[in-house]
Amino acid sequence: MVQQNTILRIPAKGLCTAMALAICVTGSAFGADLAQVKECGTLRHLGVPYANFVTGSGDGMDVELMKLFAKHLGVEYQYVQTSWGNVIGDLSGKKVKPVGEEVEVLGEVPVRGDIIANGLTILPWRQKVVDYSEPIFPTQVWLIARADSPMKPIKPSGDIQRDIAAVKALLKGRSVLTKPKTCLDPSLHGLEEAGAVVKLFEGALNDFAPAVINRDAESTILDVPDALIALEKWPGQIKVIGPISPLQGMGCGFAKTSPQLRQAFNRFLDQCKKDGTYLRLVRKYYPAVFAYYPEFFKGQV
Amino acid sequence: MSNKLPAKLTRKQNLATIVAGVVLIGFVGFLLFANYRSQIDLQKTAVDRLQLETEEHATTISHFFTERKDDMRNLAAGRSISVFFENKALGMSMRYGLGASLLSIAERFNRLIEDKRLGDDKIYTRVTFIGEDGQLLVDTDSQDSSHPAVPRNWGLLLTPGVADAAIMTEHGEGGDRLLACVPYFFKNRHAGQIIAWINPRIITGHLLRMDASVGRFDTLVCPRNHPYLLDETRTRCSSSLPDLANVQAGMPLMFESVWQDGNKTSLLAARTPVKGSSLSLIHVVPSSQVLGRTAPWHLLAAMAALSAVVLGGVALGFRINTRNLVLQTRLDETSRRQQEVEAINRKLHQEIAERKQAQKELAKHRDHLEKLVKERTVKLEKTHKELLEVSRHAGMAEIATGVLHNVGNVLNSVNVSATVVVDKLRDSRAPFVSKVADLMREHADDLGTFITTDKKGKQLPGYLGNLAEHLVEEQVATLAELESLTQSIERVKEIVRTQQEYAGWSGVVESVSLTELADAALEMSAASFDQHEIEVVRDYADVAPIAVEKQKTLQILLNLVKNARDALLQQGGSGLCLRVRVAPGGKGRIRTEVFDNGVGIGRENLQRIFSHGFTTKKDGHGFGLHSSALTAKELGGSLVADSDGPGKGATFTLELPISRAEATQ
Repeated sequence: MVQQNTILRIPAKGLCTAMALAICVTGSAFGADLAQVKECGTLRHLGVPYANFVTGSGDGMDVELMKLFAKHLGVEYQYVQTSWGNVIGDLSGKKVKPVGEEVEVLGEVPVRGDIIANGLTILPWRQKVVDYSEPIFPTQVWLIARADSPMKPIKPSGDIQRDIAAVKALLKGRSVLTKPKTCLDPSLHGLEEAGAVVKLFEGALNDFAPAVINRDAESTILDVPDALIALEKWPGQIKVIGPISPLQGMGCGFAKTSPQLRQAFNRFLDQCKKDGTYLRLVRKYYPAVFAYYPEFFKGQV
Repeated sequence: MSNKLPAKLTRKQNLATIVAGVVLIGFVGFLLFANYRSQIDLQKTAVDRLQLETEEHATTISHFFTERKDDMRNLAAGRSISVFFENKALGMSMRYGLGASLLSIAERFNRLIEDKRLGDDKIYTRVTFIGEDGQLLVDTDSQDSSHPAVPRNWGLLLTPGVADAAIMTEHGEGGDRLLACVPYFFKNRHAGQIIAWINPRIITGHLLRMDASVGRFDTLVCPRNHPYLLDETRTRCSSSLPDLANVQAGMPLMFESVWQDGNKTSLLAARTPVKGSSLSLIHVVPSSQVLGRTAPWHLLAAMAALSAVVLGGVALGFRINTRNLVLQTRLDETSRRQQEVEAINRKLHQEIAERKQAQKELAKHRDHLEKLVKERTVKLEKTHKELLEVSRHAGMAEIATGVLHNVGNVLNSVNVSATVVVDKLRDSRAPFVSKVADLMREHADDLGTFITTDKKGKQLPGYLGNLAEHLVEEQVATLAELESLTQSIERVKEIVRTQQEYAGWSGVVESVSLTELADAALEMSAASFDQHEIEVVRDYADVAPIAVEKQKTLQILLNLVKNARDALLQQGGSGLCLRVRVAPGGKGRIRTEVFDNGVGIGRENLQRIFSHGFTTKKDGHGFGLHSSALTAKELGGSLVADSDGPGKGATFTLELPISRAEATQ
């Protein structure tokens, strides 16, 4: 196996060098793999300000993780800010549109980064165009309502599916803020099928809770990291009704053409879990998450 | 009689000694009693001080508890617990969202644990929040998986009936613990309780004092009178420590305790309640540290015994010391006198040594002085001779001056007489005789005719008669002038002769009349006396001639006359008088006094006036009287001066022996 890798690496080295030059000078058709990143000397981190993953102030759990990864690779770290609508294209070079669990390629776009890291929920349609690292954070989508909403929080049954059903049963005729192409895409959670009045939100994910408080809608869906921050920021003004999705995972996204970079990151992540770096970052940015998803961190805490 | 008096004195002394002894014993007894009372009061004060010290420390602990209750109140007033209950009121479940609220509460609790420290020690070790149903909602211990919370009935810690923060005690298997707690009310309903465990190290290390080495320690007692003992104290004294619950507040209790090492110690415990809590502070110290090691009555007995011994010793010592004192006094006196004698001896020796040294130095100085005296004597003799010679020359000069002055005066008369003769001869009418002769020779042939007929001839006989009268007058006048001239020359001769007479050889003794010498001296200044209208009085007695050196004697007299003349001239005015008196003096002596009524001599100058160089005259050189006195002494006589003061004249008295034999006698 080692010999094979070695044999394959020899012809690939010249190719990688050419690709790296192309990426650095003109931009490329897809995210660079490990060799190109090292050749170029820079790791380009694609990020969208979201919760405490990328705060937009120069820090965040994923920002710190990427900086450590760049240092691990021995290259410079570069943050490339993007948006939820463009983040997939900025990595894969393809502008796509999710259709259920499939995607429709709309065209080619320039590649701007090598790795997506901003609380990117692992979704089937995204897996069509990007490869994910090992899950780095647990998540779930909760239904959040204004405090004075007639919707009452469900009582946990101990069965997640029953809890989801109980929540959806409350949605009939209720307005819900959502955001397409994200983990809060209404089509991913069957909101319309549940009778909810879906409202598409143009703002950032961090602005969903204030929008509900401002009565743009009666409720919204938020993934758990964002919901925890909202509960902390606006205590007593919003309430968690219950889950709208089963347990999910978040991971870093890599171009399909960057398998070695992804493997390198997975090895780096494993090392961080072993030496405590990973838990330190989670405690720093999401101290409450251990109480909700102890299974995810089992064996690490 | 002489024996009875000492006996009376002895009885009086004994009586006085007895009275003094009784007074002394009474005074010592009073001191012992006062000391006993002082010891009792001192112990009471020490116990009060122990109680006060305990109360002060209880105040410190109370303040600490107050701060802890404030911590609890601040926690309860925080927003995080309120948020939890607000979310709970909204119906949120712990599974979906409500649990996050508890995390912020836990974070607040952890921050309190980290922030509150005393020195390097954390004040709290654990903080929990228990719901009103007894459910443990937040526990800072549970966040550390290595120390899982021990299942227990948390509801036992709830105090819903207490409205405010409080300090509680917990007695468990792990030891005694102090807890700070505060009930939490949400919308005026008891919703739970915050409980914080106070770090035992804070209690043992900062609040309660412990010095096991001296058996001094503090302890806290809960309402059930269960003592909160420090581990070290418990280890040392748990086997024998009595029930501290018996100690009443404000009433220190003394008890015996046997330490584990076998030492039996008497302890004193003071109790005072800690304000703001249900606890009491008990301060335990060895009673010896407060009350001392000796009981007051022991001290009293010991002091009494000691006083008795001391008094007995004093009495015995007094008797012994009385004799010893006498002996000692005598010894001291003897020693003192011996020391004085030794000191005197040392002083004498020292003085002898000093005198010997002084004598040596005096001998040395004497030799030196003798040498100097000899040298000076030689010099003085030489100087004396020189002075005498100078004096003689000066005298001679003085005589010469007088002679020249007199000669000058006579020559002046000679000159005048010669001038008069010359003038008369120049104006003489002798030439007219020649003219008459010529006229008669021209008329020799008819001389008769001419005399009878001629006009001029007729006048000639008359003219010849007048001419003859004039010529006779001229002859008489010329002769008179020539006689005067002759007298003047004789006068000069006399002067020169006199000078030659007195300017003889010195050292020749001859018989001299002092009156003649006085006249000669006056004569030499006669011209000056006439010029300044000085009256000269000669008061000569009939005295015998004396055998003396005439020239030296004349020098003395000349000098005295000259000084008298100068004093008169300096006085000025009219009535100037110089009187020379020659009269018999003492035995075998002739006295010559020269008196003047001139300027006189100040009393202070009468002795100095004969000193060499001393003078009161502007042009004087202080030499004349000095040499005169020396000369008088040389002649065997004396010269003294007397004056009633300035302006009252002066008298110089020269006494000379009639003969050298008299002078020798």
